[in-house]
Amino acid sequence: MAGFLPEEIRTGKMRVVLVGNGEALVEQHRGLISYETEEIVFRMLKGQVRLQGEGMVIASFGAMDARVEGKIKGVFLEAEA
Amino acid sequence: MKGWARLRLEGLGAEKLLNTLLQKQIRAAYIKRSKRRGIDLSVPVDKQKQVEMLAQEKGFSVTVLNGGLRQMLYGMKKRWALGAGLALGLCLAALSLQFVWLVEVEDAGKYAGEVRLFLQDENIRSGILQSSVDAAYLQEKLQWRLPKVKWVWVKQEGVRLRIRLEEGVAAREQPAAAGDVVAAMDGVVERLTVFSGTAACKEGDAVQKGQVLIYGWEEDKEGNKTPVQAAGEAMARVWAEKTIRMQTWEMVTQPTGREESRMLYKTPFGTFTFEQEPDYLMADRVWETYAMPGAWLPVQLIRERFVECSGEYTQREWEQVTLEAEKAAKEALVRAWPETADIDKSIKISMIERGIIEVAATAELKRDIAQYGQAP
Repeated sequence: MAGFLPEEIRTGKMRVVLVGNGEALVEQHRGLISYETEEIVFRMLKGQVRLQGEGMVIASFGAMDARVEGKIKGVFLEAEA
Repeated sequence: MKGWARLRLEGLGAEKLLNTLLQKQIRAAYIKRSKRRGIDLSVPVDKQKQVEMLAQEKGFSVTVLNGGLRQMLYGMKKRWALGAGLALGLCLAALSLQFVWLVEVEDAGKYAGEVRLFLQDENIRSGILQSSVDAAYLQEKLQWRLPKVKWVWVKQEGVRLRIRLEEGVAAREQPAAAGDVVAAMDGVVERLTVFSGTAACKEGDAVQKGQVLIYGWEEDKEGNKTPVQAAGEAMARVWAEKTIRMQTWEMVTQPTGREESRMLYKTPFGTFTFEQEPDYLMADRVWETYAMPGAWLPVQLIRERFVECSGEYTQREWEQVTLEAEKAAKEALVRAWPETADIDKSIKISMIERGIIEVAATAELKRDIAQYGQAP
């Protein structure tokens, strides 16, 4: 299908994929709000996503996506209305 | 240039700096908090300078943690002579590993000169190519050249060629009276050298222990025999063998749940008890030692625990049993004949009775089997 784009790309919505509890892929983020090894907060189009865990490392940080490694204990969404 | 550079950035607001990198389309990887105010991160080497400048603009201190090999090579572009020298050095080092640089002769004793002569004849010296050295051939040839030596060991270890001789056998004491030379053990004669007397066998003959190899007489042209003390060497193929037996089953014990214990008193005069052993058919024993009140007394208190067991004979895995038996037979052979340590051994396994196998390890050796026999 020519010109097809997934919805999250078209709308700029953030997508978080957890691979077990050791890895998280954060797509379509809008930057970093804070980074500590126990908590990472990514900015999204409307709101923010908070990852909590232990020994978290940002294994890859690019314009489109970021990959977080470590022991991930929780993912929290703080969406704006 | 591809590759990553590892940087440590120390300052406030690392997140803002990371967002700036994001806006500049600079990908960062393995971002890790180093200290409260700092982060370690990897950036593409071609963006390293840009990141350093951005970081310094924002008041961060920058430390390059690990430039990596690629960066080192990149740096060497400007110092091509150094790089070329390093490459040449590596090539020379690799090339030098292809040669034998050290020829070591150990435990040669009085044969040291002879070994040096042999090496000279064979053109073995420092600086020859490793591929032109055949250790097995040298060992065989040296063994023949030094028949009095118990055994010879030649091994090439990297740039080193090691030659080791087992201490030469002391010369046999020649008896005063005339007599034969006989075989010290069974074997097949490969080479017979007669110093005095008359040969009683020829090369290729299988001889038994005690069989005459060289008669203790010599014949003149008229056919008259004169008694002499026979002397000579008989290099022969001999076989060393060692046999062991092993059970193919094992007993597996299982606790029945019953157990009893009794106290023992260990003194310098012996161990005493006032209790009987339980009448279990089979039991595992466990001893626990306790400190006696008044530890200065030379008496130990021991609690002996009997755990009743039921036993069951179980057939072991055939492969495991034969492997263990082969190993044990080979070890027994090497204990009895140390010179067989580096020799291939053949194994013969036979089931001699139900549940018991016999394993024979055999190795072939070459040795002088001539010894002075009884006077006629």
